[in-house]
Amino acid sequence: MLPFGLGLTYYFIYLPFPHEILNVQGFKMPLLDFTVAGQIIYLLFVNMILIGSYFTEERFQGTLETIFLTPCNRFALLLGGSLAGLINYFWFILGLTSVVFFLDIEPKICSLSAVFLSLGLAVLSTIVMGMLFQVFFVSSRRGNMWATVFQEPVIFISGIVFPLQYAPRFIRMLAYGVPLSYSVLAFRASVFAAATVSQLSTIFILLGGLTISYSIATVYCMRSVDIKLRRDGTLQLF
Amino acid sequence: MYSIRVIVATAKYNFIGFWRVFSLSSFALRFFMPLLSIGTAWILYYRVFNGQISSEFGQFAYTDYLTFVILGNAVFVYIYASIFTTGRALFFSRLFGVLDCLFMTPMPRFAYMLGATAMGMLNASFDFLVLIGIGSAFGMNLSSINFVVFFLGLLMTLIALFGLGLVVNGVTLTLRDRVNTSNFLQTVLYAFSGVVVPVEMMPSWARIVSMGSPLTYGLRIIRGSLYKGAGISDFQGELKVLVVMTIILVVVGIYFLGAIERNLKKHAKLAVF
Repeated sequence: MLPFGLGLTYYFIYLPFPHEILNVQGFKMPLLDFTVAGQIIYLLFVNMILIGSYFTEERFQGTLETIFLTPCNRFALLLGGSLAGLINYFWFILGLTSVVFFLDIEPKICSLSAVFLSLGLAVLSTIVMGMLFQVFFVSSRRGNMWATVFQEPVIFISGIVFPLQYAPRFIRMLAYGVPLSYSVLAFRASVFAAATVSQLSTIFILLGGLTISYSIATVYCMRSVDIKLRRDGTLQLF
Repeated sequence: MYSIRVIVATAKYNFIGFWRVFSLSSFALRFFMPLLSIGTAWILYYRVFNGQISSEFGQFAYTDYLTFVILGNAVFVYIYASIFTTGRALFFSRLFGVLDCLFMTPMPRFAYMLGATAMGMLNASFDFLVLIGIGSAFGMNLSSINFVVFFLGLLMTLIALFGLGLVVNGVTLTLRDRVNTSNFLQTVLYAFSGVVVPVEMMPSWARIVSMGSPLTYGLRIIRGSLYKGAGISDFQGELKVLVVMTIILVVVGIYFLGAIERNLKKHAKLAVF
C-alpha cells in the first residue's frame, strides 16, 4: 500500500503545475505514464529490498545457522531469495496493470527489443540489488529498519518522482551509482516514449555494467560476511 | 481531578519510556516522508517548472506553493502521533504484557488514552517546530499569519485526530495488528488530505475520498490563517465539519474501547496475543 500511496501522492504533487508533457532526460511523455512507469520499477525494487527480511526471520526462528551449515552455493541461496521476491512482485504488477486499464493508459512502443531489454535488465539489476540487501540482512541485526530507511530516499535519487536532469548536482552524482535510475529511464523511454535500442544503448551498457559490478560485490560481500560470522561465532546471535 | 491524575501519570510514563530508550533511527524516520515531499516540491517549483504555477492554484491555496506544501507536511506529523501513538497505545500494552493490569485498574479509560496521546502530541509538536524551522530555510512565508485562526484550526485538528486515534486503537487492539492499519491510514491520509495539492485540484474521485479526512478541513483552516485579512468567520463551514467529525470519532472510539474491553474480559483473552 505504501508504494501505491506514494505514487499517488507524487502524481498529485504535479497538479499545481502546467504538467501535460514532461521531458524525461530527452524523452517526452505525459505525467501519468511517467508516474505509472516509475511505480512499476520502484515496486520491483521495494520487493527486492524487503525480501532480505526472510533472513531476519530465519535468525529469529533459530534456523539461520542450519541454513549456513548447508553445503550449498551461497550465491544460489541469495538468488533463490530474490526469485521469491520476483514472484511476490507479480501480485503488484497485477494491481498496477488494472490501474493502467482503469486509467486508459496507452503505451507508445516502437521497438519490442528495447522493451524486453529494458525489462530484462531492470529485473536482473534489481535481483542483484536484492541479493546484496540479503547479505546486508545476514550481517546486520537491524535489516528491517534499514530496508525501510532505504525505500524513500531511493525515490529521490533515482528519478522516480522527477526527471533527474533537474535534480541538484549531488543527487545526480548519487544517481550514477544506482541501477534503478537507469532501469526506470530505460523502461519509461521504451514503453511510453517509443525509444529504440540504439537510442537507449548507452543506458543499457551502463545498466549492464553496474549489474555485473554489483554481482561481483555481492559474491565478495557474502563470502566476507560468511567467514566473519563463522569466525566470530555470531551467526545465530540476535 | 482523578482523571487529570491519570492523564498526567500516563503522559509521564510514556515520556519516560520514550526518552529512556530513545531511538535516533525511529526519530529520523519520522522526518523522511515530509522532508522528501518538501524537497520534491522545491525541485519541481524551482528547477522543473521555473516558478510557473497554475492560476487555479491561487484560488484554493491561500498561500504560495512552497509554504502550502511545507505547512501541509508540518501539520501532517500529528497524523503520526494520532495513528501510530494513540492508535497503538493498547496494542503495545498487550505486547508488553500489561494490558490485563491496565484494564483491572479502576481508572477512566478515556483519561488513559488522553495521557498516551499527550506524549505523542508533544513529540509531534517538536517535529512540527523542526519542520517549520526547516521550511523557513526553504522560503516559507508566515508574514501575514492570524494566530487566533491558526491555533484554533490546529487545536480542532488535534482533537479530531485524537478521535481518529481512538478508533484506530480499537482496530489495532482487535486485529493484533502492529503496522498494517497504521501504515495504510497514514498513506491514505497523506495522499488525500491535500498535503501537497489543494483538494479542489484533485480528480473528482479523490475529492470524495478527501472529504472523509479531518485533516482536509484542518489544513484548510490552518493555511487560511496565512491569508491576509482572514478571520474565524471565513472558516465556519470547516469548523462545523471538524466538530461533527470529532464527536463521531470520539464516540465511536470510546464505544469501541468499551466493547473490546467487555469482550476481552468475558472471553478471558486480555493478554492472549
